[in-house]
Amino acid sequence: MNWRAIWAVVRKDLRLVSQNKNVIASLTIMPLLFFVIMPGVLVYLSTGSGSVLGEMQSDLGEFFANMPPSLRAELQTYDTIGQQFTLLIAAYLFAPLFLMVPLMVSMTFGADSIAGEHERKTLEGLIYTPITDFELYVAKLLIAWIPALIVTFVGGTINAVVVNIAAWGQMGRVFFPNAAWLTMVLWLAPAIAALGLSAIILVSARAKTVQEAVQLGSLVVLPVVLLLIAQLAGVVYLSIEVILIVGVIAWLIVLALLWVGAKTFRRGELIARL
Amino acid sequence: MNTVIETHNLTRRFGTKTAVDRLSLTVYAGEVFGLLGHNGAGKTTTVRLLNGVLNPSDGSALVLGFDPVKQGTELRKHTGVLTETPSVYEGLSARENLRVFADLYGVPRDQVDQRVDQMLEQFKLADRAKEKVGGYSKGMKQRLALARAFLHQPDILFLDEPTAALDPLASKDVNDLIVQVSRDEGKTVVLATHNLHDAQRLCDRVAVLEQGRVVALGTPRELAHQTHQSITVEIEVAVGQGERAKAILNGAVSEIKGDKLTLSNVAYTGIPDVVARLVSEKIAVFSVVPNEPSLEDVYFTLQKRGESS
Repeated sequence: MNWRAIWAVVRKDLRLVSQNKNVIASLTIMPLLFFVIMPGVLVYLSTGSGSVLGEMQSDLGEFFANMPPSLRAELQTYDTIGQQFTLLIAAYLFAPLFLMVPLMVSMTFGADSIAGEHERKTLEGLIYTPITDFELYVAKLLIAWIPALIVTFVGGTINAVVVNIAAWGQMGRVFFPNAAWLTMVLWLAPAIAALGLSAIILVSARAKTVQEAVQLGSLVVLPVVLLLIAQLAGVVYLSIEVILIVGVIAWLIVLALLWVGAKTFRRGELIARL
Repeated sequence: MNTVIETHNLTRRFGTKTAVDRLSLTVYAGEVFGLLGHNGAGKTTTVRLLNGVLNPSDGSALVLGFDPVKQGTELRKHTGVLTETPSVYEGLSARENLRVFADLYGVPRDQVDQRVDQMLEQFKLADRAKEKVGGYSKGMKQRLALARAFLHQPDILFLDEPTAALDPLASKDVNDLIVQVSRDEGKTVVLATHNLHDAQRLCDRVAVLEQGRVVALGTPRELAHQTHQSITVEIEVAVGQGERAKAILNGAVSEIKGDKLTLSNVAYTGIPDVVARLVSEKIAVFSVVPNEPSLEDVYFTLQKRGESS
């Protein structure tokens, strides 16, 4: 494996994408919204809802009783219903939203990786170099996965700081991230990012424009949206067990997509579309 | 002469369309070989097949001893390709563009800076090497693409329509560079073009492609002789001998202006006889200029033949 050639492509693409104002804007606005503003504001508001929640105590008791045992056990370690509610908002409500960020980042970069080269008419120069089909495929995967991981880990850290500050009045201590959140950031988010990029690279290699690639690849967002709806509706909670299981399923799908991608990623096919 | 490219019945089909049809040709080391043909004749597909970026549907090729199908990666270390569109990264500077490709072509790390500087100098880009390529003229982008193709010192350069979309000045610039790299560096150049003037000026031998097939192959002069059995010859004789020369040649002269005679429909091989007849009659022959058909004449003759058949 020629890593020098792979990194040359990765560095070049990251450099070029970093000059795209639309990409930078989406990479800034979305994490800012989902990692900082929304959780910060909602968690802060939740800390002031103690008196209202007190009046609803019996309803909330029933609500908590329907939750998975691991989540119930975790909630019981908190003293007041206000603290329990803040934990729910901070650690569970935003979990599927958090997953949207690495997914969108990997898809933004992935869509640009091949279809963008098509669009800018630069693919042919690359294809005549000695880089192998597989090395080029790996390079294009890394171009999308690396920024997604960086945004996930940096965004996750900032998110934890923001949530703890916003909830300090209620909690009086550092309570976040909890185990479920950490599992999600370290296990499920990279899998979801890989799922998005392995799908989008497949599509990107067959599309002629970035827009076409995004349109075709955006179907990958659906499972995460369904997860979000399911959690809001109380059908599924992203507890550690659920996160681990969803992660395994996602990684298996990723492996299958990568296998298909590696088998079908051929410069002859790419160049025939030029 | 060493053979660097050899193809046998090389064929590439896209669905029902045959882009390259049983192509058999040989290219020798150090020559500038032209692939001529109009758009869609199969020139670009041939370049792709010879570099192992497309696999043939049938037939085989050997380039620098490598099989492009099985040894494409190794082969591409030894070939440089200038594509029809420059394929340069407009968001990077010329220097950054060349550094990316130095890594891709495996230029030894300790030689990258030196090689990049050398290319920027040779292709007259050193002054604006740090500027983003997006601000370059078309000619400068093409020069950068040429520098990129030459960066790793390939044994064969494939140039696909190198002057397409360039103004005459930029075209001349690029053509001069091609002459420079082929003559000074002794590299083999395969020039795929529909620009017949460029081909006439640059190529040692040409293959004329039509619908993916070779319809003519040889030096421009050989092709001229193949397609044009008779030519026009201008002969200058001594002062006052024009009319006598005309009489000797017995009606073969189509025009006479003082001491200059123009002969039409003369077989190329018949020119020495014409001169011998004049000399034997004590006519002083000062100059004989056969007006050989240009590559353009050859090309259009071949086109007409193709259409009529």
